[in-house]
Amino acid sequence: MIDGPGPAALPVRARAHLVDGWGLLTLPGVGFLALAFFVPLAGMMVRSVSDPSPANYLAVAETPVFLRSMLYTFEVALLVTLICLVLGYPWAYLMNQAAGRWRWVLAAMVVLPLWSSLLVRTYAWTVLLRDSGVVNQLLERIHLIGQPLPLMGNTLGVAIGMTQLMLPFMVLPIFAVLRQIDVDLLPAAESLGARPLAAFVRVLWPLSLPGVFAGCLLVFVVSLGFFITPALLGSGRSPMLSQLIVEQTNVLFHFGVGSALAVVLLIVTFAVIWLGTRFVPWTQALGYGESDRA
Amino acid sequence: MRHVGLGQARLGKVLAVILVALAAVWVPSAGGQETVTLTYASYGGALKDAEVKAFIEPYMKLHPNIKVLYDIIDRAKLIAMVESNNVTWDVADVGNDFGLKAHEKYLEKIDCSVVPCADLQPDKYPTTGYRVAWSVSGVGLGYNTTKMPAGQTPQSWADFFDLQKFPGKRSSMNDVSSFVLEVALVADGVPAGKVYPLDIQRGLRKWDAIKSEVKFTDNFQGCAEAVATGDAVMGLCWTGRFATMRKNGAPVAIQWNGTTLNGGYFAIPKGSKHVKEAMQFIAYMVSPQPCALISEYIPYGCPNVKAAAYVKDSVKPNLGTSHAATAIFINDVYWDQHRDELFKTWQAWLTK
Repeated sequence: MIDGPGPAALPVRARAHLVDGWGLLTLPGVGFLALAFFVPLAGMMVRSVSDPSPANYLAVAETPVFLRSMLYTFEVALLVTLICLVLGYPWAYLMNQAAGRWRWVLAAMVVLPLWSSLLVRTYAWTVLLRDSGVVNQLLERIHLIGQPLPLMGNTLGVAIGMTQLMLPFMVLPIFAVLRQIDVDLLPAAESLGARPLAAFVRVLWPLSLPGVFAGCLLVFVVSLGFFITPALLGSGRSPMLSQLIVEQTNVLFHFGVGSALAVVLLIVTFAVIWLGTRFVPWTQALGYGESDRA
Repeated sequence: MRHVGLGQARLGKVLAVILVALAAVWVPSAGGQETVTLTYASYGGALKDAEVKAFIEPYMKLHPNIKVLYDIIDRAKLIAMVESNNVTWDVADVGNDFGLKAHEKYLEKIDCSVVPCADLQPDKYPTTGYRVAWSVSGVGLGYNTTKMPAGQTPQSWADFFDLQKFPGKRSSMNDVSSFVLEVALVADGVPAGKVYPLDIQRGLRKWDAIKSEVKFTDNFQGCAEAVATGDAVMGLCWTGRFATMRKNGAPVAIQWNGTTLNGGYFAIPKGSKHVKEAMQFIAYMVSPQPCALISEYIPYGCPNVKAAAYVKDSVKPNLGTSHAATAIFINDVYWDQHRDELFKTWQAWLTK
């Protein structure tokens, strides 16, 4: 593993750069985020203990449905992240290796779906995956199966739908990092005697880690909040936490309990990410150290 | 004195023409009344098309100084609006689970000298004075006509729960507020008029028998679609969807025996800027003729007793209200008091 110095070891010259000139350009963006995001978030946290009282958290802890749903939500998010990594990394690698026009084609195949409605894409999956849907009809017609396979209304359906939606968020960060890796490194490793697999594991993979980390983080966190896809492709018997939060606020008007659920989800998410950073050199993954040595 | 140049003269003429044109557009309408803009919040989609044709366009024609804008209803948003004193809606279509004692503080009191409250059957469609019944719909038993055993069709909810007589998967709404417990109790032999207070455990036991064969879904369309495509042989879904699919040619039929009936309600958010005009608009929409008109565009009944005379015979079979004799009337007051408990218990059972 390649280690870099942590942020504390930044040379003084680099640190001084954070607060002058270019740093000030971030003010409008930070200001907007503060007003449109952090203030409502704080309001929600306040509401979770004041509407009507911190007993909301007791209600969350004492209801088995909430805890089971939270576990299930993390399971699904993790599953989708892993599938996206397994499918997305080779795709990004292919994109990197491809010449000119083909790179654009591969990129378009992944990015274009992002420009169409999420709801439409999820509905399209129901047409493909349901018992009388296209996939089952095809498999029955060629006599591969006798009974329709349950492809939706369960975790499989949710995973398929979410993977398609989340794949661009895995492919693009990995591709961005792969692009910057010196093209001569792999042939150099092989000329020094490394077999292709070893060359990948010991040279390419560590260098692409920032992209992998960014991609996984993005996919994992966004998957936690998914609502429409689990609602349409999943089973009413295994709700994800977002569905329960919506039910608390929009159906039962328990703003306090809904807020408490959301805050718990936030805290557990941070905890999971923190846990992940114990295994991944995140400071190096986020790009600290290397380029700051002027 | 400097003569005005040709270019400046032309500019002057052009400006004069523009000013006159603007003045012509801005002259107040005949009668000198100010335009009042009402914002009407409802569920959108097919309902919006029906509401525009049956309510909004005719009303705007009758009252040229009233303009009605459409927005999508969100009860949590309504509560937030009232709490933050920033109310932009004037008439809200709130649904039967909103507007009773628990929500009075968010709504304006209804003026029954303007709105015909007494004609709206308050014994069947309850109100504490802060909401107005305008439509009737419910859940019902829909079945796929191509997937029935020879010569048999379901006659009641008991057949929905009978896997021997009618083998195959069921489709159902997954939330207790789609009256899954009321239906189970009737299937178990409880008379439709005696289901309240709900014997929750008895209802859950009835569902236990078929739980593994049920596809639970949380959206109206998916529920009915499963029956239309044959993925499920029977469905417990909102009848409006079944009726529309049947009209469009799907092999779906409805067994009306035991259909549930509940009202849809209008309410005026507290702090609306046009309470008087909103009240008059509501009074128009629940009066017999406009109220009956909505049934032509969407399969909802009308709670106004005087509206029956105006409902077209061709749409009557698709309306739940035409089958009121065997229907289960939902007790909103009971629901208002027990909603939390019902949700919790059903959900614990469902997710086990």
